[in-house]
Amino acid sequence: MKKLFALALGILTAIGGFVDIGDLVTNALVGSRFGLSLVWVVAVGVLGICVFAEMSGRVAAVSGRATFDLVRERLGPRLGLANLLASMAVTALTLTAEIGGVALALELATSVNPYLWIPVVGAAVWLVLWRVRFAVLENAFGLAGLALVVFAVAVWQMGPDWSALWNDATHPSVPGNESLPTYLYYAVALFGAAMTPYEVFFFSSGGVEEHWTADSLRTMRANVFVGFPLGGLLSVSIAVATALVFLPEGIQVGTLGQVALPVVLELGKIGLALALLGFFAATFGAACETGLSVGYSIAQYFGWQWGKYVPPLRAARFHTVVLLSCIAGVALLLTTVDPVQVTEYSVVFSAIALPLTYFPILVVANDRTYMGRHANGRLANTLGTVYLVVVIVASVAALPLMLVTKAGQ
Amino acid sequence: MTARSGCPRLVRAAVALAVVLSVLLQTACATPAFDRGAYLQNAKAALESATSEARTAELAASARLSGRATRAYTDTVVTSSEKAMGPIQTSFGGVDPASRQDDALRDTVLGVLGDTEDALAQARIAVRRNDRPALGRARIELAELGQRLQDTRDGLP
Amino acid sequence: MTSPQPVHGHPATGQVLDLVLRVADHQVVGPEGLLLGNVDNLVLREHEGRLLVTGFVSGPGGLGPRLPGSLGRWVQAVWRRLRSDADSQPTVVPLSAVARIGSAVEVTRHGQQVLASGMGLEHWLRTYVVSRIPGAKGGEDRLEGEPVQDAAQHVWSPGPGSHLLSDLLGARVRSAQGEDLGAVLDVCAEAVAPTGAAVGVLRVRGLSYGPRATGSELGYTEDPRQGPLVLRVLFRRLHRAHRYVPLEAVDVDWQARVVTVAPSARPVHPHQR
Repeated sequence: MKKLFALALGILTAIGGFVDIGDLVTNALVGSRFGLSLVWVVAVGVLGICVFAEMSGRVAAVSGRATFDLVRERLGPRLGLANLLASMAVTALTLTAEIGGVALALELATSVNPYLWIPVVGAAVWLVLWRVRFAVLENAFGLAGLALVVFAVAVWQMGPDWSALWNDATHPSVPGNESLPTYLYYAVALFGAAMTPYEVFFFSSGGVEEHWTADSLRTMRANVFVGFPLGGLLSVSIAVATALVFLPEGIQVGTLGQVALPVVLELGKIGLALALLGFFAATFGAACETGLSVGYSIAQYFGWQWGKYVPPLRAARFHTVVLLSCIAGVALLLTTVDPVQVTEYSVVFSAIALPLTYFPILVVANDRTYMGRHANGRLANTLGTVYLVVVIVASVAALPLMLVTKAGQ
Repeated sequence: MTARSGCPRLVRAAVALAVVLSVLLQTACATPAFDRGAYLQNAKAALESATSEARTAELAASARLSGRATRAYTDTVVTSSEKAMGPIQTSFGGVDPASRQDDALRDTVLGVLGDTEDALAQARIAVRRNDRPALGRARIELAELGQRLQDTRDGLP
Repeated sequence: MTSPQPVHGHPATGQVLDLVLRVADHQVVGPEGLLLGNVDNLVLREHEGRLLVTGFVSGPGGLGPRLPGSLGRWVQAVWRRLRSDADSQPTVVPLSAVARIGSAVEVTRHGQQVLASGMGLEHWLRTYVVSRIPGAKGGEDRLEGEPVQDAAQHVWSPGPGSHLLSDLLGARVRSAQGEDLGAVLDVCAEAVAPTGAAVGVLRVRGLSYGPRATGSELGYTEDPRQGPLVLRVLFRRLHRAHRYVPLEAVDVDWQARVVTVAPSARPVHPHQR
């Protein structure tokens, strides 16, 4: 019974923890501009993050080594360092976007200027990372993130023509008023939002923190293969909601307030409250995950003691890095950049940086010296190779598409 | 790995960073209109963005009027729509028309953009004062402006 | 305290190890699972005509020489400036203090103490930053702070017969006729003197070299079966000119960083050694 409860809890937190500011903004934006014609990308991205997370979780469980540990080991100090800098820049950008997202969610609840919230949020994120236990952090925000299910409820209430929706999603085409490069640019953005590198840093490092062993593989796979696709459905429901309400009106989503509007129109104040709770939990949880991930990646590259399973004084360098990254995120936001725009860039840069960590994990998951009988089988390698190609194509295409479309305008 | 292979990698990373930064800067700046087509494109983009803002505020106002939205939420949504109008007007108004025959177009577009900003400001004030009749009037005005923006955009060649 | 970190992998005793693939850049773990650093460099010593691996270096002093050009020099210079003694050399952990080499390098309690004495940044941040934040805990015991008595023994000093792995990696490899064959990519060693629970000294058996360094640390050159298929084929093709040669058949000029392969040598692809 207890085991079943733990399994259910793991899956529920995986669902609620799947969505972050990148998923919220990108799905809403794409839904309002492209309808359901890009839903296939979410499906591709979700399967991709399942493949990636399963491999890195398995490597973490069997070898006890987290992602950046292996990046350094397999790429050497030089290429590993370049990789570290790129991945850290992207993760720090994501952290910035998440802190901004929390501030925007609080603004929607209180109408207090987000720039007043930003320092408070930064301090709160750091305090949680400093004081709160890992399991509490993961479960609390994961469960509260389930409130985003209101988007699915709102779509249900709207009573759309389901067969037409299905037809739109399964027969994708570029909408008449959008160009092909813009369509592809948002495809890359949506892919980057679903397959954000920090998710895997956090997942594998969390596995090491929780002392996974080969016996934990079944639970880990259940979380990944049930939790992530259901989390992906939450993302899709956001896109469907904005597509139904905004596409006919010609509204393009550019703020978090607009993301919530379909739910408000359909479900009223209770819907609004749940949507805001979901926004808050999703972004705050992700801010904690990205903050930790910055610390994880630097500490793992240099071999420093990291993690929340040792007392803070034992991991002084790790906690200093986490503190500095929270300060840096807040400082960047206080230059009055628009958090939504930071989010839009962060998902594209995520797609660009993805091969840097995907490739070493794919290689190590095949190393029989470490992995023994848990090395990649035929299915894992087929999917792993297909996604290696997908990830590289998305990464290479991202910058040219950004140039051509002026970042999707 | 040789000692030589490390340096170009860092150089390449620096070049990539420079490219990214220049892209970001370019996207932030308004471009001058080279010809009539480019100017029309600018006008269309400005009108589409403004339509989006006007209709968002209209939906938020109607949600507030029917008791579905809180004051804080409606205030935030309407205010950010209003704030978005400034950059839309600057990015269009800051570009010189390609020729004299586009001056009329410029006046029309800037006129309707200005009206939209005024209507959004009225909606914002009404929300903050909790003045339902005024919000109702602002909502109707926003609905009309949404249509006017759309018609102006559709009327462009 | 945390339970010991599970470390999987092979025991090192009597087994052949590719130093770059299996030892360098690996996480160093203490007896209770504390993470103590990375294997940033290895210490090589010429002894009675043999080349032995006697210890490893962890920290910027070892990492610096492995980073490219000015970045590496800069890292070392900054690290030296921050040390108290003017002409400090990196601290070495002897392989007699290494219990196991698996996916991590497990050191004994003695090794942990040696490493702790070299963790200047950690101790500084602990004392002046993190301990001043309310709620900091865990530093009451002095587990890591225990200084090593014979600290002077654990310092690497450059001198005749004493080298770092980074001196050998990337060194040019030439045939007896002076033809360039590429650079040293990996060094193969075996355990010769396992003492009780420790790995002990390793003896270098030979070198791998080749013209293309890209991906040489991924393991495809060492393990002919490692998947996935596409990468295996790709790297086999990319690394087809890679060769392994026993140490007896080469002459190492440490000053010029040139390795000359004797005419009598029969280099083979690493898969066939």
